[in-house]
Amino acid sequence: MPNRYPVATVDELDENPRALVECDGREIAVFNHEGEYYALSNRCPHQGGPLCEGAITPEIGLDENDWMWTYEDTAVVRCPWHTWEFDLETGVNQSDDRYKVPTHDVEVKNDTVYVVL
Amino acid sequence: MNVERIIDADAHVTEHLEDLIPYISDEYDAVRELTDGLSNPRSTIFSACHATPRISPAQLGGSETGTTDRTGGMPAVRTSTDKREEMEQFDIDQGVLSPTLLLALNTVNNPRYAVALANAYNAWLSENFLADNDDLYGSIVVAADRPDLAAEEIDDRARNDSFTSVSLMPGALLPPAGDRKYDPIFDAAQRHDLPVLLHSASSPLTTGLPTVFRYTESYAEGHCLANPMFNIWNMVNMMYRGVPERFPDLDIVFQEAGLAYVPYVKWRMDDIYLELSDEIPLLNKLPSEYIDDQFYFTTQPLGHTAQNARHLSYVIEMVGPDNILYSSDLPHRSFDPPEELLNRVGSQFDEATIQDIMWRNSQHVFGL
Repeated sequence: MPNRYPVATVDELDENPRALVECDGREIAVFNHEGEYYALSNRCPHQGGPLCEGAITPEIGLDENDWMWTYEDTAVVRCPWHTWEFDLETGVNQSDDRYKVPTHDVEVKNDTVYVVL
Repeated sequence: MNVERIIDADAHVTEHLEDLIPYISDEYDAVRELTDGLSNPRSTIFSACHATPRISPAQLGGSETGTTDRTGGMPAVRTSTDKREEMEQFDIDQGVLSPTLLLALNTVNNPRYAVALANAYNAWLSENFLADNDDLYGSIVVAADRPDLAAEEIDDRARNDSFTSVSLMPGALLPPAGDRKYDPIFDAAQRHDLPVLLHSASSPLTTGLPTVFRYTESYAEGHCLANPMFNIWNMVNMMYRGVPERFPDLDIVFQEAGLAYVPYVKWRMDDIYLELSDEIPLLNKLPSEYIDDQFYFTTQPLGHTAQNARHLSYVIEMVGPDNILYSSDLPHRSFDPPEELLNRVGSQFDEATIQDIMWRNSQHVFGL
């Protein structure tokens, strides 16, 4: 049976859209980004920076002519230490997919947000 | 592994021009008045910039800024409390302080401004960071265009034991550091038993390597190229013009280009010295031997060394473990925490060697 770790209430994550929780000895960053919940390991695989403090931005790409920068639909969390970028949904690094942050399921039950391990 | 102590040989403060203005001495009253209230000193006094701004979350549509905004800018280190909090976060015990704005000091065209700002920085640092402590140490920043006044400043500041080095910026240092015009600076540093630090930076590409600057189209390109280019240029120039031979008791520390460029430059300088020694008459031994005796290198930026754990150890062996000083570069955005070095090579060397790199070499070079 999966373990559910309470993070915060839905209202609390509306008010402050990020939280850091410890689940079974692991630090997990939980984000409410545009109404969707995401949970990733808090530890950047580069040098251990705290992802829960990172900015969430669109990924930047190029248009079809490889000319102008465009904003992609993918949201990334950028490590506050050296700006390594990880896909919020998959945890995969945007520049080298050999680097991946573990991601976890998030569930809402009775107005409480849980990380599921 | 446990290290007894960590000394950061490149611990930045982030001085703003407005911090320095009150410390401009009365002799430079006019500079103080002309500088006060300037909205964009980086282009009106300095000529320091990048090809583009660094793309940062703050400029991205729909961005949500994190709680510690290292990505948009960098944390401010304008008081000793700021610095101590940061050192505590990264388990660093002592720091040799480097400037930020004044890394581009050589892009200041007018020597009156350059001297006034360098001396004001030293006064500001002394009063705000160096009073009554044994964890923060200063480097006397000097204006290269007036080596005579730089030597006076060194004589003056060296009376404060908390100043443990002299900083001559290699970025846009024209002519480079081997020129005889800088002899008064090296002479004063040697006389006071202070090492000379050469800390490279990317914003002085503008005037230091203008052709390179013109053909960089992003912050990333300039940032990648500038530091090794400035350091290699100054190292070769100092070596072949005989600075270490003419100042045999002077220690010279290169900062902010990491380690891996050093073995290549040593081999190349030795090779060319052996082929063309008639053109390099001042040297009496191999350039690499002068480097072993008098040159030191701070570790950051190590680069992306993760793909093969042994390679960084090879580099350390080739540079010489006695000539390597751990540095973080905090709070700048390309910083290396101590673990970046320790985790990679902590098990590759004996404990004494690791202690040397993490603090003992710095203790010796800076006389801490």
